[in-house]
Amino acid sequence: MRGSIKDNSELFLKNEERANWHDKALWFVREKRDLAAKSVPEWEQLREKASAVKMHTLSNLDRYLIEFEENAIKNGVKVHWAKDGKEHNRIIEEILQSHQVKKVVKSKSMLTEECHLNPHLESKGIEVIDTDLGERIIQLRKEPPSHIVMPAIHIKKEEVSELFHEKWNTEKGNNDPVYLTYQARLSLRKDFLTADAAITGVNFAVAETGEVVVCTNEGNADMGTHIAPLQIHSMGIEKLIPKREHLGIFTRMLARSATGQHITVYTSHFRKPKKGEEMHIVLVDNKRSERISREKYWTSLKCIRCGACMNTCPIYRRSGGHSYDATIPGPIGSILAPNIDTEKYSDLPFASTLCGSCSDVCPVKINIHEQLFFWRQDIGRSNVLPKSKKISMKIMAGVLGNPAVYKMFGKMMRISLKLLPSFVFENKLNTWAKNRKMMEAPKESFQEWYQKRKK
Amino acid sequence: MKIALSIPCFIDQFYPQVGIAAVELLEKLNIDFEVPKNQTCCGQPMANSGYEDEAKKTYHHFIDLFKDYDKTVMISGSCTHHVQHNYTNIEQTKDVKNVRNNIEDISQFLLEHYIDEIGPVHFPHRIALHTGCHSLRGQRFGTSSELVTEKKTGLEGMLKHVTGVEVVPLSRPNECCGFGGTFSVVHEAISIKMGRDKLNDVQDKKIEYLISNDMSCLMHLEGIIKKENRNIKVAHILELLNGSIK
Amino acid sequence: MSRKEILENIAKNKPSGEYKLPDLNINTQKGKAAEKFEGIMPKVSAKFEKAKDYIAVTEVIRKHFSGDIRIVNLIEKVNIQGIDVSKLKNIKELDLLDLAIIKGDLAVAENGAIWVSDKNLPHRILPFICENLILVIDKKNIVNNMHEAYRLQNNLDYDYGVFIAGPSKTADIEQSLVVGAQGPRNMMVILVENQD
Repeated sequence: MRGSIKDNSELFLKNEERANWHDKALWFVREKRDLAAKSVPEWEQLREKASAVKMHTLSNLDRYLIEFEENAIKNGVKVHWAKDGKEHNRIIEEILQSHQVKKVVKSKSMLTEECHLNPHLESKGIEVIDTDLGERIIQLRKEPPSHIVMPAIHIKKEEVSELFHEKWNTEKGNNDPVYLTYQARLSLRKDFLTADAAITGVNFAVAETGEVVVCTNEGNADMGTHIAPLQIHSMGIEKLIPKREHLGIFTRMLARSATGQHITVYTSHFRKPKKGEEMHIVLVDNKRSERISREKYWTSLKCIRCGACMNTCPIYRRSGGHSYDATIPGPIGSILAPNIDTEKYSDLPFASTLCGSCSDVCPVKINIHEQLFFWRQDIGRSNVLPKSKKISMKIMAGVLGNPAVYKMFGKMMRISLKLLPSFVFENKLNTWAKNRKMMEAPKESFQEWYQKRKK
Repeated sequence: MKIALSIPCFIDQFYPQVGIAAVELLEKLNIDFEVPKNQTCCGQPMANSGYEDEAKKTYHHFIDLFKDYDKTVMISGSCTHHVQHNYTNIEQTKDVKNVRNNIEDISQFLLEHYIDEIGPVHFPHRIALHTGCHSLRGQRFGTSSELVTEKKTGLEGMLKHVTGVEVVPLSRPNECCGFGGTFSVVHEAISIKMGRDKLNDVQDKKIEYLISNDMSCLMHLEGIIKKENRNIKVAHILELLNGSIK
Repeated sequence: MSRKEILENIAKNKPSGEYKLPDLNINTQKGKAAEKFEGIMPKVSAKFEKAKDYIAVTEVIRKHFSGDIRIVNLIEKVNIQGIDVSKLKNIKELDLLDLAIIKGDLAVAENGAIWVSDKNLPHRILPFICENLILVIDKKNIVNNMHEAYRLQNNLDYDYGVFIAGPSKTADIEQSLVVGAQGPRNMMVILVENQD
């Protein structure tokens, strides 16, 4: 059972000190992003271009996928197509089995999270090691990521220290991030040297050249792919861009938006397999070809997974990524998840004040807050919201659509201070006034004052 | 030009003094305007809850009231934004288009056309400004901190002829206050937390008045201020410019 | 077969509007590329040295690295003896390599990234598996920004290539920046001022 963001966030906020810590950590990243973006005076022009390149590619996606496949095959790469997560996992499993792979090192990929690849491979007896430090931490804690770029942003160094002590017998109580990172390096180095295969996600795929581009800071994607004899890259079909020259736009924006760096430490371009070895690319649909048909929502496929909308979101910062209980949390997750299962994730589009900061921060100009509003309407029209809510809306509509009734209710309300809020705020007067003092009742409404004055 | 003044439901019912300030200001500026009778609401609370179809009757009522005016000035950026952007599920008649194209937040309207005729007003206080998110990012009343563009003046520009005032910048430029309409109740815990965080910042900076162009943000914040006996006052920018802050 | 199904779905569902590919005329900042590049080095946690020629490059490296250390030097003009990688039986022997010296093809002023491709790499793992990495770049090969870099890179043939901006790093523990994640723990960039 999926928990609701309402219940989860309430729980998260119970520990106020920790919530403040989380909020500040992410706001710090947002501030770094601002500095980095402002170092590029042509930033808004880049956003325009990035958006246009993505819109163009998506509206010609079939053509570009074919071009990409052709060029990748020419490069000696094996290309696979998966219609959903299940098929993706089966394809990967088959590739691994045919090479007698016992151990895989994986670098960060939200797609493999979306497809639940790890549990699948583990159930087949294949060991999977996540090699990004944050990913490794949450893997050892048996948790999903709480953020798409900083998966362990919700965890404190003391907890990491405990965890490493328990798993790797590191020095107890040593909470120094430098020490802890070094211990993880030592452990992961062994994994890199003993893995039979490496799997990575993909940030961009270039149709013109058939190459895939992977961005990391830790060097884990490269450590994995260059040592292991077999390399596999999993990518959603929306990662495509037409030409290599378009990488200029996106590599200027990705890291600046994500962490405030001018570029990731490594921007790796994989075109051909290592000599004598195999390289595979798995193209995954998983409902993307359906989402592309949705007039109001297809532009969400422009997303380059920078996470800037999470860092800026006042709700995400105060709820934590796990509160969303979806593969991708935050504003972008709240417009992606209902595409996958509208009913299951029907609460997410409502977890927003529609302040629009997400849309302004988005490097590819996705109208995230508008799509949140559209989802609310689609969800309202479907039958997934409680009936009681619809009834209260009908009564409210009756009041607000009829001036005479409105006046009467307004007057009664100012007398009793109960009625209007109970309509405006969903018959939950108590909730409004739990932590807020009720509005004071003026003697007369503005309109009463105005009519009297006119006479 | 025929101008109508549009009053949001929460100002009509809870904050008549803001509507009164608007009327007095417009009169002082010799602007010819009317306040159409029988105003109710723009319908945003229903649409924000996912029930825009239930709001249609309210939308039509709103259009009927304002269709014959060349300009509708509304005392809320958020309601203005709703009419501009979200009246899409009713037939786009000439009247609907007219209202949607010609509605404007009164603050933005005054800043654009009348700012040099307002004041001088003496307001010797430490204040902070809070632009409603829909004004800021929907109508570009000011420049949001995310954008890398030349800064456009917004709410702060309205203080052009206010003397003695000290404007203190907040730590997080234009972070949402947490109201969000029905969000304030559905996600009460987050909403309150957002409000408190903003108020803590205001309090730390020893600010006396929090001034906004959107009374709905202030309704939420004032509720918290009073519940927690905080020493902060809130007021609409129109009250400040009208010199009617008590 | 899924390929057919996916492509058919896209053909059926893709948006019908015409969305043109934009031109790449972008108002970028130009000039003082070498100074900007140098200025950004501390921001990417890279050490920076200038050398007038390759003889000086050798001297700089000798000054910083001496003693009994395992080195792979991939630049002929740099007179430092190291491991002959062509004789390696297994690249895993490179684990804990103390130093790799590698030539970068171009460098980007706006972000400090240096392009290294397998044209200069007998093994792709070399710039990653070493504890210390030295990238040598000719001053003439510094470009202003990524647009220029990709324009130039278009003429470079590679099977694998990477932009490297500093030593490997992470901030995954409480956003504290730690240099030395899974790749090199230190990196030095040497800029050669007089090219040949």
